[in-house]
Amino acid sequence: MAVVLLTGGSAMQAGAADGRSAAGLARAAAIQDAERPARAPQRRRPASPRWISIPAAGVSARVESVAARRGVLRVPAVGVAGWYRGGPRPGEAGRAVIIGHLDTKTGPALFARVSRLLPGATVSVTDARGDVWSYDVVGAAQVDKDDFPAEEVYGGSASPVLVLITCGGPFSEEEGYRDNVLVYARPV
Amino acid sequence: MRRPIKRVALCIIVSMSILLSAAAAEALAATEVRILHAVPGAAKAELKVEGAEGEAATLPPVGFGEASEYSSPQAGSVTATVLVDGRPFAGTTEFGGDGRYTIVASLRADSEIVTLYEDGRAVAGKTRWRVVHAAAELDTAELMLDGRSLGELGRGEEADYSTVEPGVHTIGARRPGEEGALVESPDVSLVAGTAQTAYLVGSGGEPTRFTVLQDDASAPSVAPATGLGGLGDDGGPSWRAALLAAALAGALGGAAYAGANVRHHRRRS
Repeated sequence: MAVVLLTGGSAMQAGAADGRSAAGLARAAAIQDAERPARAPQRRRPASPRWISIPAAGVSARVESVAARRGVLRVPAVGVAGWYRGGPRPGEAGRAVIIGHLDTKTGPALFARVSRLLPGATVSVTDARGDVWSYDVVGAAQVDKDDFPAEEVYGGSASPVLVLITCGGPFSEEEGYRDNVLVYARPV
Repeated sequence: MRRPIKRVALCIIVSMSILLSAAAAEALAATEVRILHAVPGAAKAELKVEGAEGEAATLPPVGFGEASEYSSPQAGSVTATVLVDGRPFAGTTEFGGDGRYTIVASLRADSEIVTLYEDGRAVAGKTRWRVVHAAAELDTAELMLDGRSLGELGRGEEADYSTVEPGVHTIGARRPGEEGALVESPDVSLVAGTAQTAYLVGSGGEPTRFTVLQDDASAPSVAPATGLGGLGDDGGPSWRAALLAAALAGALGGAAYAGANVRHHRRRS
């Protein structure tokens, strides 16, 4: 089960005829829009990200680097965003991934409003040198965790793309949240 | 009484190990293959892949200088047949084992050549890349990265993977001993956490160029758990419920205070 949140549009129409799922089309559209070159790629490598700001979602928080162990991405502390350090840094070619908690046991957490971001919302990431990498949200999709599209999240891209991840969908004590919400953004 | 328990535990551990290692072997022993079309003058190339158990698939055709996606994983050995413009090209190739492969269809002095390359794995945080020389009419090419010579490659040869700083690079090739570049691609993105291959293709009427493909990306395979249930519909005391309760308590408190005030005023008057 997957739910479309918002999408770029054209890919959705083009793919509807060939039977692909709406969620798959939404992701495809979001990825396609995110990878469209917006500016010349930077030649100087950005430093590791240190701060993320998403005014439309009320996010202004420290970013720590997180690693994956045996295929599982470690999650950051509540109140802090986590950048997957095995992939690209924000500002450089490829899909930079930043994750954050939807909620704690008792209330909303850092990325509680990330799933409600609309296209055009600004995401700014400040790196360790103080350079700011700004992105515009282009689309989002809600995907079943049992069918997590790792390639579409962590796969390569010739242009810089930012992927925000948090939880979504129904919650159960045994399984946790059923879904992940993926938000794709491209450089301003 | 302790020994039988120990034996049972040992049996369980051994059985679990066998099951787990069998599952791991099954998971690992998957072969994926794709095709790169480097045959000048041919409109399209496609790859027919046949698994050990007889299952067959034909990957969608690609144009010159293009590559297909990887085939779906096949267990055991794989037989691949290249079709160029609809006809079989250079016989079949059989290979197998865990891994990803790229089959390059090309020409050498009008001979049909199919070359199998084993693709490398990505390493988290590293940018791995290599060059494969598949240009039809260029015996040897000197390869350049950002103006620096990387050495020479003969036609059909592959360089070892090496690690570079991620970012945008200029890759080029020239004839050995010549000053000017035969080809120069100034905006090649070499991405952190991936393994990529730059294939030198062309000649025979096709301009020489690089086709840069991603061989692998380092990726956590499991969805991250970024929620603890405070906003969930089945997550214990919901924050919305808590807010509602607080608001209700406030309203009740306010009403009680107002009522007490009214009574107090009535008594005084």
